[in-house]
Amino acid sequence: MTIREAVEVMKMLAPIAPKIIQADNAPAMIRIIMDHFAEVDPTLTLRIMSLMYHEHIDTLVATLEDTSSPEFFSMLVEGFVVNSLADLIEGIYVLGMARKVAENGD
Amino acid sequence: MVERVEFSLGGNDHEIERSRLGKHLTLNKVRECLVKAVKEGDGGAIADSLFEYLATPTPNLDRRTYESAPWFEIIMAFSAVQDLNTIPLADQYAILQQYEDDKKSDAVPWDYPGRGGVVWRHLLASSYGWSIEEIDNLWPEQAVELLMEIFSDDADDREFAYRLSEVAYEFDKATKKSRYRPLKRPPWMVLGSEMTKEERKKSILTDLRRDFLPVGEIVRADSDQ
Repeated sequence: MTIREAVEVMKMLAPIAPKIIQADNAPAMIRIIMDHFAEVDPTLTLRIMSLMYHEHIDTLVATLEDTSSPEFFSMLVEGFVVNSLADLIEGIYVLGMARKVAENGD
Repeated sequence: MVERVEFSLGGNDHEIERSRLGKHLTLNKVRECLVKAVKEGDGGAIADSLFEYLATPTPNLDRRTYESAPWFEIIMAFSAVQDLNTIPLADQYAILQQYEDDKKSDAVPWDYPGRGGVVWRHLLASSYGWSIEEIDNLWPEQAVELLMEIFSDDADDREFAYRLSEVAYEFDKATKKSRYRPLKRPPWMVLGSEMTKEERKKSILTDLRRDFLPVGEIVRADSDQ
């Protein structure tokens, strides 16, 4: 991702950053992200993948047409491996997009 | 004290030194823009501010390299430059602490981005007659120390003039005597004297003024949260 794409991804993840860092493992982190996107705006999942895979959203939709749920999930996980989720979360805090865990956590 | 940091951006290595006042104030100005962009959720402005921030101490950083550099390198570089340019021992300077009383005093109707730096230069130039170049060559902590003395002298002068004025005294009907009504000093000047420890603790919002705080999360080792 370029810095502009990464900033957009961080903006999407910022509201749930405190929850993500409290998750026990990587699948739980992805689950928190997917649950949040499903609740707020389901198109955010596609958008974040479009940014991470550097592909236009229409192209991505066409690619994902025959993709099963587990495959989709693993693509999302891979996106967060290539663009380290830990680094993205750190970036969110470094840029001041989210506050301390103690203030925003549950 | 860390005096220089190294970072890599897009395959190019950069080594930068801690900024003197001129660049320090420019960095503060850019950071104000960054904070505003983050607050408004303006992704383009965030990316642009990050470039401006990194380009301030790294004049040979070009836009093309920045745009094509891995994003995590940019975040790491930003973090490194920010840490390098934090005023050393800032928590020892009372003026860099923000209090309940002055939390609304930052903005004035004629405010504009970077006005803080202009105020610093204006006060130093007025007091010492130095040129902008000379002022910009100070270390930020030297400027803070001098500004504290300027404010302190100014407060003493005001107090002296105030004591000579009749508005400083109010008539107490009970004792039928005039009573001196002290002039209120900025909260940072009464730190540790008129304020009790409890009052001080209660009035402190943060350890540092907002415009001197690094952007992002601050985790204190002694925090109980």
